[in-house]
Amino acid sequence: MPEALLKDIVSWGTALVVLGAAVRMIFNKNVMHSAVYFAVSLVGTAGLFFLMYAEFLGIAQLLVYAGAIVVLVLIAVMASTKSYAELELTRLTQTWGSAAGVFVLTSFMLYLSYTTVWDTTGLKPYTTEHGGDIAPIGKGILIDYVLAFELASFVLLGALIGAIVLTRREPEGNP
Amino acid sequence: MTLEHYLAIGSVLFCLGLYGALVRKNFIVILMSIELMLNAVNINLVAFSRFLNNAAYEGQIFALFIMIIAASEAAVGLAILLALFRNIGIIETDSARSMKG
Repeated sequence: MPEALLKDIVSWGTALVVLGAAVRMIFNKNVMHSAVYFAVSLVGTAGLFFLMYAEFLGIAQLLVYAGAIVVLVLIAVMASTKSYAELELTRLTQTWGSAAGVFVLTSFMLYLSYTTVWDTTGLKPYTTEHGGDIAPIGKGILIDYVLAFELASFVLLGALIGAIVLTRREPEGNP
Repeated sequence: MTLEHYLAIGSVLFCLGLYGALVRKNFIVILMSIELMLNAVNINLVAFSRFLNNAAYEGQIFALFIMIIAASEAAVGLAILLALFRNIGIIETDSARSMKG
C-alpha cells in the first residue's frame, strides 16, 4: 500500500475518532460517560498533532489535556453527585435554535476553508536535520515571546490561588 | 491530507463544542464543550503552522499558550462548580436562580 494512502487512511480515521467522540460526548445523558468520551476525543487530537509532525505539542496535549484536565473533570463529577442515579438527570435545552445557528456557522467556516486559495509554498518535506521541533519552540517561548510566557505563568499562579480560595471551607466558629 | 481537510476538522469540532455549550444544562458538560472549542482552535493553529510555513513554529507556540490558559480556566471553572454545588446542591444551570444564597 503506498505510503500517502496509508497516511491518509490513518489521518481520516483519527479525525473520525475525534469528531465521533465529541458527538457522543454532547448527546449523552450520563455525565461520567461524557467525561470518558471527552478523554477519547483529546487523545485523538493528540494523534492528529503527531500526524502533523508537532510532536512536542502532541505530548503536551496528552499530559495537560488528557492527563490533568480529564482528571480534574472526573474529580469534579465525583465530588458533585450524591448518588449514581443523579448522574442521569440532564436534559437538552433549546435544541432547534442552537442547531440552526451552529449549522449556519459550520457551513460558513467549511466554505471558507475549502474555497480560500492557501499559499502553501512554505511546505517542504519533513526532515529531522534541525533535531525536531523542541529547540525552535524552546527558543520561541524563552527568547522571542518571553513576555507572553511570563504572563501565562502569572495567569497560572492566579488560577491556582483562586481555585484554592474558592474551594476552601470556612473554619467552624467564624461569625 | 491537505490543509483544507485539517481546517474542516477544526471547524466542525469547534461548532460541535459550541453546540454542546449552548444545548446542555449540566455545568460540567458545558465546561468540557468549551475545552473542545479550545482544542479545535489548537488543531487549526498547528495545521497553519505546518502547511503554510514549515520552518516557523509560531503556530505551535500560540497553541502551547492556549493550552496553558485552557488548563488554568478549567481549574478555576471546576473550583466555581464545587463552590456552587456546596451552595445549592445541584449541578444544573437552571437551578442557580437566586443572587444571594
